[in-house]
Amino acid sequence: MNWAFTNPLMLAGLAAVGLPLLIHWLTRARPRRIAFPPFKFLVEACAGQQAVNRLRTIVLLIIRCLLVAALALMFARPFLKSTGAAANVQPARRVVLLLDASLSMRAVQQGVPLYARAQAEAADVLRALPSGSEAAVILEGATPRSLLPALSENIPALHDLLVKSQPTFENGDPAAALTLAAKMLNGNGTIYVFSDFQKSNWEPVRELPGGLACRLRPVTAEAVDNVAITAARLVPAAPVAGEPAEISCTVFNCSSKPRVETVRLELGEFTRETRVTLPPFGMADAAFGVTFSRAGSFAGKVMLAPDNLSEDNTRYLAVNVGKALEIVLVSDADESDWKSSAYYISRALVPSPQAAPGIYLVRRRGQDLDRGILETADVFCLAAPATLSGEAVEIITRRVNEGARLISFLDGPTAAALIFPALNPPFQLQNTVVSQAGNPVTMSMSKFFGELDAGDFSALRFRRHFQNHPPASRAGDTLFSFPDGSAALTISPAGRGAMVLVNLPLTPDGGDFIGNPIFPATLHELLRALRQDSAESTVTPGATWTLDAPTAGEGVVTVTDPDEKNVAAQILSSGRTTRLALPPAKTPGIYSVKQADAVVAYAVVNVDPRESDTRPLAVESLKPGEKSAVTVLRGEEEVATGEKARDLWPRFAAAAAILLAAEMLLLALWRSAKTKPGEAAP
Amino acid sequence: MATLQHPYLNLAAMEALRGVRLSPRGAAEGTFAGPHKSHFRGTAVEFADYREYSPGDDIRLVDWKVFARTDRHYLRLYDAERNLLTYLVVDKSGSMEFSGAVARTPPKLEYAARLAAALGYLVLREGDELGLSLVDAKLHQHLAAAASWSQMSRVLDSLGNARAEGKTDLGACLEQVFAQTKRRGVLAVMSDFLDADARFWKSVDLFRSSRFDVMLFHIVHPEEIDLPAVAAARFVETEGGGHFNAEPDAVRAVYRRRFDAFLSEIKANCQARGCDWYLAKTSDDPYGFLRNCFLARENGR
Repeated sequence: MNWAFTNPLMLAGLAAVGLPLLIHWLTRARPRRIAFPPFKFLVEACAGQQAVNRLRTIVLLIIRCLLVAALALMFARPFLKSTGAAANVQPARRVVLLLDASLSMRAVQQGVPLYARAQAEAADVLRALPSGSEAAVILEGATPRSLLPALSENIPALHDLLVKSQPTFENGDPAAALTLAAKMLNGNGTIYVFSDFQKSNWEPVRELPGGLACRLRPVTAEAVDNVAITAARLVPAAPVAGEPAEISCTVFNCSSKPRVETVRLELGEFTRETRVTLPPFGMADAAFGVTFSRAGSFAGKVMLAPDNLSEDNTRYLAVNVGKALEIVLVSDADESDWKSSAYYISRALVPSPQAAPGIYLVRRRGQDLDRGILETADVFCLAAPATLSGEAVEIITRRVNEGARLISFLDGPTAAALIFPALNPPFQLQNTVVSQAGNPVTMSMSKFFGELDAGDFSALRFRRHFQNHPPASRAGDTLFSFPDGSAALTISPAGRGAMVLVNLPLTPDGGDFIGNPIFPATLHELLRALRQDSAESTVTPGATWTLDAPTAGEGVVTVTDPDEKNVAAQILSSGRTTRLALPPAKTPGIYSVKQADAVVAYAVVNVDPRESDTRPLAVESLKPGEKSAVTVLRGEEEVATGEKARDLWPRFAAAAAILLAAEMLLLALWRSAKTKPGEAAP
Repeated sequence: MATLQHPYLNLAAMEALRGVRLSPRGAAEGTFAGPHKSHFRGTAVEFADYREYSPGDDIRLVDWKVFARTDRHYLRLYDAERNLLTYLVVDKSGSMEFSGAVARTPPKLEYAARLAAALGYLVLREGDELGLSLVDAKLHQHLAAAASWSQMSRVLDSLGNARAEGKTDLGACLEQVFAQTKRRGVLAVMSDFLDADARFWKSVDLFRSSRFDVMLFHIVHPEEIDLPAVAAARFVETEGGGHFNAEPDAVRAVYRRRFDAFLSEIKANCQARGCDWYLAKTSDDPYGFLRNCFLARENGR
């Protein structure tokens, strides 16, 4: 039998064994020199007594040292486990050790990272394998990775690789790892799982592999107290210089106690702090108002003070601040034709350069659209263009999917062509409804606009519109609707961007809408609403990803990781924006795209927020596969054999108690033998 | 005498000793007539015996009534009241320097000197003769017995100049003192008697065999009885180079038994020889102590 310790760090307490000696030495009575006439009587009477006293001191010191040692050993929680020698008489085994290497395993509990604990126990299993056994080690991350390509008898090599392995920053995928393990064992063998069994990762695992023995070893019995920033957003997502914006982040408290945390923002010129109060296992938002003074790319982070799992305490942000919002108004009507919708739209958007300093409006006819304009525009306004090339439709569709905004004004003969099926519109146009008296519109979502309400529209009448029937599932997209149920104004998410369909007449003969001051206000409110969307970059470690960077010229584009090491990037497309395909990011942080040594863009990789929820699953609730035997190994049970290891800490606790009692008894006994001046002898 | 002021003897001490009288247990044998009974026959009032006249005798002592009845000449003999000879022996060895480690008192030598001064005062006040010897390993200073007040000054000077130093050999010193005594009287020894060996007791026997009234004043410091109240101490020999580390609380009981045995041994030896033994603690008032001693002595008579 071998000794092992549950809390080996506590063995450091053995260093305190010398403490009683030190205390004795430091506090010992400094003898005072006294010239004493009856010296010979003292010597005669007390020579033997001195030896006894010295012996008593030694005995007490020994007891105290042993007491400290017993306490240190007790807190180290020792237990006896069987040696490999015993295991060698067993038949050879086929074993796959599945180590959870996800981010949550970096959490530190009682001074020991969970991964280190799992690693040590897995190493014990390897060492205890009988000769001739075959084994493999799988690290569970976003993609399971086997340390050796197949089961191997080279246990020492496997052991070395295991010991050198490191946890990842990735989100775990236990189902994929179990599948790989089952595939490697091919129906014969045992899977050992060393994991924190995070509920967020393990709940999707419906069933353990069948036909195999599964030994589940939770490396922790309870949730590791953790606070994390699980999301960070910038609203609007692409602000322009001088425009007020808001950076908000969500803080999650994965502990059973309420907490107050300080959130710190470090982004470009901004360094701010704020405090949030977090309920137990609850979330709270922290927000920082910022106004970027200049255009450009910025990268930064919001963060919390380090805790048991520090890796999720920082959330990185990359912001591209534009000079102005570039709107492309595509219309074939003459700009000076006051009967055309384009006339009213352009004036509503930019009455004068001073009135809308953040907007840069570009007018193009349908046939004049060039790729350059389309690739850089932030918002596309389509106001009844006569023609729209297939390439333009394709670019606009792609750009909207990438985050651009589209406003289609559906008034005119080409209206149906302005609804791009690839963007999953909420409705399709049917026949035109004309009403001389005009139809009112009703607001489906009250107070959607910040400065308008339904009352402002109640007096408006619209003489024509396209009849349509949005399905009930898209009812939420409709802002205004006609009495016949047709949608008058919808706003829908489309990829990472958004799309607005305006089914309203935009010429003077269609009603008094465009002549009403409510028209420019509505347009600007729509723009604001469209830019509210602030989908966070969801690139997480372990996943392949793409990155768009504004580039110019022929300079070589390189990407560096947070450690300033080059990342092998593959150029997918180039032009005014270069699209790069990147291998799975290993670490979270800020990745820089450089061209000619100048940073042209930043991209960020953040840890998966699911890893921040450290609450474990009830392992017993995992459903065993068909013909599989599942054993949950808890406490100090020996994972290698599944046998109950013998706990030794109670013996050390008893020893400590006995030593303490002995010390107190002897002290009382020997103290009573001491006599103070004037006291009667005992 | 009324103006005598000395650290060892002052008016307060004299006041404390009013009414105290040193009375010898045996007959006095002084040079001059005094208040104490003597074996010398003289012209005092108390009849002692008759003896036949021999030529040269004082015819005034002839008892004429007896001559008338018997026709023979007999002389009337009377017990003369003689003055007392008192020899003070003060131990000034190194051990008498001890004044305590925690509970400080005057050094033992100073206490012995106060006792000796007070005793001397009592002796001279009665018109008796007083002698003084300061001893350690040898006899240092010996003042022959005299009955004058100037002797008191000499005694005080000697005591005042005494320094506690050197080893002790009380037995040898007493032998020397004995050799210098001319007549029997009272011997008062002030010492801690830590070297009270066989030779010492033999010298005491010398005095006793000469019918000296021997009084031993055993001077001890309270910490010698009960050990100093310190947590740990390095006890050093006062008359040697030895040292010994001890925790007094731990060894107090054992030591106390040993010291009690020592005191009992001294006391038993004194009783066996008919000597008076007085245990004087330096924490006590020496004059009050002396008064109590002599009152007890009077009562025990």
